Amino acid sequence: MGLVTRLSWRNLVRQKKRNLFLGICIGFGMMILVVANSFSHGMVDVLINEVVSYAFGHLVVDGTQGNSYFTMIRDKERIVKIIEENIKPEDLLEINENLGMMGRAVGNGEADNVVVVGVTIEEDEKYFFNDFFTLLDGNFDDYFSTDYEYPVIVSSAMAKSLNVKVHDTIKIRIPMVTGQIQAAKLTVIAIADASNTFMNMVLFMQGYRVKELLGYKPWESASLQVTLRDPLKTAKYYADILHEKLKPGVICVAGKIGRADCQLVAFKHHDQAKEALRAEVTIVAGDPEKAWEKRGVMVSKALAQKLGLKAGDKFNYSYQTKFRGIYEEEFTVDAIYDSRTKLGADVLLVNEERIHDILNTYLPAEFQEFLAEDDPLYTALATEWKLLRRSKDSQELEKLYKNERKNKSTQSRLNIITMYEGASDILKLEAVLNLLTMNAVLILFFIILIGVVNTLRMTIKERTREIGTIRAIGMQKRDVRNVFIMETLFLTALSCIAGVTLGIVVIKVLGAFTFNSTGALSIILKDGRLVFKLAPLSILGNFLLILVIACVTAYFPARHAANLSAVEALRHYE
Amino acid sequence: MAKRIITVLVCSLFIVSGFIYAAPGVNDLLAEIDEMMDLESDGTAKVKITQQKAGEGVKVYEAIYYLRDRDDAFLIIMTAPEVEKGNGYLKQDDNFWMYRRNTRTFQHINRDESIAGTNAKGGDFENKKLTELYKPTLNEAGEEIITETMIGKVPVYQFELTAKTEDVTYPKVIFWVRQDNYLPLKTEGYSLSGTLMESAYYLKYTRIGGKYMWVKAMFVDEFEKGNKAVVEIQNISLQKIEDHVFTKTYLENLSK
Repeated sequence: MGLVTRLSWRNLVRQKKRNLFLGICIGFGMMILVVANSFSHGMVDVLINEVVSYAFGHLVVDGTQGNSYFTMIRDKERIVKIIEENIKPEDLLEINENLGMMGRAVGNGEADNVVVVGVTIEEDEKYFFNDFFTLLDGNFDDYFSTDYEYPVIVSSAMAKSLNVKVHDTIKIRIPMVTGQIQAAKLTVIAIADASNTFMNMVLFMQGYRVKELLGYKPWESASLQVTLRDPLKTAKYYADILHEKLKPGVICVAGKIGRADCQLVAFKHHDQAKEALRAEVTIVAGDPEKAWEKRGVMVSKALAQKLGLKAGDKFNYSYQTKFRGIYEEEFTVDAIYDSRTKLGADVLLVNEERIHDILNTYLPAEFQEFLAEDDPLYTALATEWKLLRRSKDSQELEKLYKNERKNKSTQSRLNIITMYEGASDILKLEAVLNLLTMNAVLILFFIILIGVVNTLRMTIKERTREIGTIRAIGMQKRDVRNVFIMETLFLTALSCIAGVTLGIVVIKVLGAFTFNSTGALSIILKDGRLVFKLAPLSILGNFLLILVIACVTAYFPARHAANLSAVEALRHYE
Repeated sequence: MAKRIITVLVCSLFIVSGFIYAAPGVNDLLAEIDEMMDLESDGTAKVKITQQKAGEGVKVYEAIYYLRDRDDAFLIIMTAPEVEKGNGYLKQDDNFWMYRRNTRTFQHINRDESIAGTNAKGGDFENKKLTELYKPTLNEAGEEIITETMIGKVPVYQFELTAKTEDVTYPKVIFWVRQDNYLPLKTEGYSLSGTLMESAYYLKYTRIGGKYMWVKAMFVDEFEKGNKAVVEIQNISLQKIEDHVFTKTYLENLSK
């Protein structure tokens, strides 16, 4: 084998010009492959880390209520606890509120649309700013200052658009979670360039200040973004677990009517549920039609007798809330039902649409367990929230939300989304880019390999007499074949290594340029630069693939050379 | 003795005149305005909005508006400008749809969404009573904030209201209403933080079906200076409208 290797190497060096030309072609192809591959990986990395994870989060617990376009989780503490209990601490990096709202800003004589975003960070975490922004003017420390009512960090592009400088004020108008209009004066404490163009229209403020502006109560939250250590591996896994753990219980709230204890139980506002309940609940007084309507209220006969209530009477029901003390609501008895049911004697039966808004605003301190889950009546009872089914991708998610928009219920909805559903189209981009790159490279290599075949054929033709000589002095057919294959292998391997090296140089050079783009290109820029991310395994795989293709391609002409008769070969004359 | 009698008489006169000329209560004024302006009838009208935005010039929007009194269903079909022509909005029960002529599709929208890119929202077209939405703002002494003042040469009552529900755009509103017939001449809407956001001037009223209705109003954006919209309502008819008008099919046909 040593002789074969030495001969192959010598032959490779013998025909420098031809091999150099072929080597340049192979190396160039490899360089293109490395650059394209790194570019697609870098682009996806930017999209995931700079766009998807900020815009969608690795995993999001999304809450909505009624038809509001605001996200709303009424009991943040409870949901955060469930998240923390079910995601391993080593996998959980942080949980953030996705606080943001589009509004209108007026600076010094200029106006623009802005997105006000709340970023909750402590003073000792301010390194975040240096990772994220390039400070141009002002001081990031003022972000935590209480000297200003609403200190805000503005991008240089937005500062220019609004014609403001540090310590100038910006007036903003934004809608609140309630639908009312809010206005505020923000003080520019820093002007900075964000690493991503998406951040140019964003005004950054402390999370609690944005919450206050948007009208969230301290215990409420916008959707919760969960940042995971390895989202590609764990996001879907934890999303499924959280989906299971966030299954809601039925609405059953212990309260009082006067001094009498009772349980408020809500039934679903759809025909199937009502049918199931009708089979169990017999109305003995009042207006049955009204009782089953959207705002219907029914009192059990035993409770009505205890309180001296008749159909049409008004009464006050009170319960202990979690954050707001005792809440009292006035109801009218639409009907009285026979209390000899499995629902129990002290039950106030209410249509869910009558109670969701109240329970969402005045969260009960506790929801009681009511009926067993396998009880046929259980599914007729309204739940604390509606847990939306998991979606496979963006299209399915969009369809789900579209259907939910038609649903006019005031019930809260919870949805668990990972970036795969929230931004599946962006993530598909990587696969598409890789495919395109691979196709382009295969075409390139097909052309190159035709070159290899031709070169070998020419070489074999030129060396026919030489082949005859070495065969005559005793070299085996197999060795002759291997000399040619090894020669191609050396050429391809050296060219590929040179191509990879050149590719890395090109990446460094291209990555050093700064682009002042605000167009579509800016989406894939980080700090104004193209991002390349070398994928060593992918490059190694391609390298091996090319070697195999080269060997296979060289095999047939090499075998042809090896099979030449020594006598015929010696007689060959050009 | 005579001096005492005169003093008592003068005081009584002041007290009586005080009762006679005292400003009415704010709740009474609101109820009066609601009563005066509640048409209690179906209605059709042509609505023209001339919107001026700073740096964007003037745009004129025109639409035909159909209202069913029974359930407050309404239908709006845009007739101008050309890019909006044929687009429409339909509200029925809790459903609010936007129709796009180009794609021939209906889309569920939120009542807080803009109508045809103007400052008007779906919710603005709902028939709501002031007494349901607002209550008088009380000062530190627990009294209603109401004063008598003038707008130009017209004597008016100026009073402040606070939202009763969250279902209003402005949590605080100030009204200026004529003293002689209680018609609002001007309103100011304030944000929760107390910033003046919008002033509305009701320039012209008409009497129809025994009720009052403003037919020309100017809405000035006080937040972003230079933006304003003049809304004119023309060709008002209070004839009953058939139920088939408030359907998707009818909107599609109108759009053609």
